[in-house]
Amino acid sequence: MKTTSIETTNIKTMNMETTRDDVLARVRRVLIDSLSLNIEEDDLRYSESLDQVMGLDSLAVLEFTTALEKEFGIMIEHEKLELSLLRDLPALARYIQSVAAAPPASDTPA
Amino acid sequence: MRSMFGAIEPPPKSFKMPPKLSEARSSGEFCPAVERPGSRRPFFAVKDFLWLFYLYPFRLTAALLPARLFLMFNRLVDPVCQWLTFSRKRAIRRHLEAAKRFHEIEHDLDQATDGLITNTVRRATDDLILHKLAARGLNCTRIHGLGYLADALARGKGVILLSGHFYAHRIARRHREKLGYPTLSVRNGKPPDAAMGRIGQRFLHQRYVEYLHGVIRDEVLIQDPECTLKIFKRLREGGIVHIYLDAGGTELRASSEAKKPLWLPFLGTLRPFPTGFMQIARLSGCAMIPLLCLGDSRGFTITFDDPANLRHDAGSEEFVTANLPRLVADLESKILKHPREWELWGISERSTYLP
Repeated sequence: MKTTSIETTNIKTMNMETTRDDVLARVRRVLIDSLSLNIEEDDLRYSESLDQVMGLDSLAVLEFTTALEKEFGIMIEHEKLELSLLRDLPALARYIQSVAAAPPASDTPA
Repeated sequence: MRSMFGAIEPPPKSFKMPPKLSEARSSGEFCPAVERPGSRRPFFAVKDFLWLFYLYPFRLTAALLPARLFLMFNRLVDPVCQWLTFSRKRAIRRHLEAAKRFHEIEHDLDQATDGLITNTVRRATDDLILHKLAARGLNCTRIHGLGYLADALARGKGVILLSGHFYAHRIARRHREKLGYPTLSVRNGKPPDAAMGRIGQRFLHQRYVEYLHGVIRDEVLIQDPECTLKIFKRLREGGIVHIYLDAGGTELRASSEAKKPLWLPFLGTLRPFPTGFMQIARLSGCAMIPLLCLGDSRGFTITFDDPANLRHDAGSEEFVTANLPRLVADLESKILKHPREWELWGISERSTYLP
């Protein structure tokens, strides 16, 4: 079973940080870094939605979404690209956890 | 008087609006198309009457008539419209003259002005045809560069078709759907219209927006809070999105730095250009293909250029300043070659004429 080095790295990364809280903490970090927000991680409570954070517009949400995809090495399914999910940080963390925990696609030689 | 940037060249990155112009703009001195502070719309304008007639008795009657009768109607109505739209023709003429100070326009300005009114009437009847039909009765005479579109779509990251407000784009869009290339249009749901009276603005404007939705169908309005996401979704699905590059109306409110419009010289004016779509292109990695559609339902052409060579190795702001001026310059050159086909002459709500 062949996996690429990037996929191997991602599997190892997710094995080390598999708790939902860890994923959520990374999501918050990506939010702050990708949008250069002038707030601390602790200022973002777990139940907070993006609507309550600095009044972010849809372009900022998009910027955040693509940064998440790079961080976790996933691609959010286009059916899931809804503001209702992307603005709900805990729900987003759960989704990322489920996608990242799924077996990666691999090239299987015949 | 030549443009400081040459005939049709993009402005240098270092271009900043001269302080004199910015003062003039804020004082309203060089904004002939903008309603000056304190001015009030008339209660009922000529355009209100035209729209009332179009949206109600004519549209309802047209639903029962064959499309070929619209051509006869065009010929009858054109002289009347030429006479009624005197103030619009004055604004068109002024804009054409401003453009001619900086660029070569080979067409006679009077003929171009009359031709623009004729095309406006023609487009109004083409919209009725689109409302009635699938793509029957639309005569596409030529398509160039379809291979560019197909190759770009094959990459799987979607395509943004970039164009100006040329009259033929709606009928061309319907034809592309028929060929198997459905396109999401991005539209302003509250287009400003300084020519409408208060009655028209209050009662007819919204009706017109709803009517256009029946013509265009597959669209997202910029007022939709999920507009950006819907565009991104379509691109992520490997689809096509149509963006009007010259949509610089009053709805451009910069809710973030990333969406701030970029002011560029354009056809003798200084005009704001939207930048939000550039950020979407940067984030999605989609291709951007300039599109030109000319003609009307009796015969039209569609031309896809080769995909724009975008500089992706840039940050958010640099991506816009490195790429947008070239795209604008390309659009400008197309308009100057076909001035009768561009519908926004004299409509420049936030533009400033260059001295």
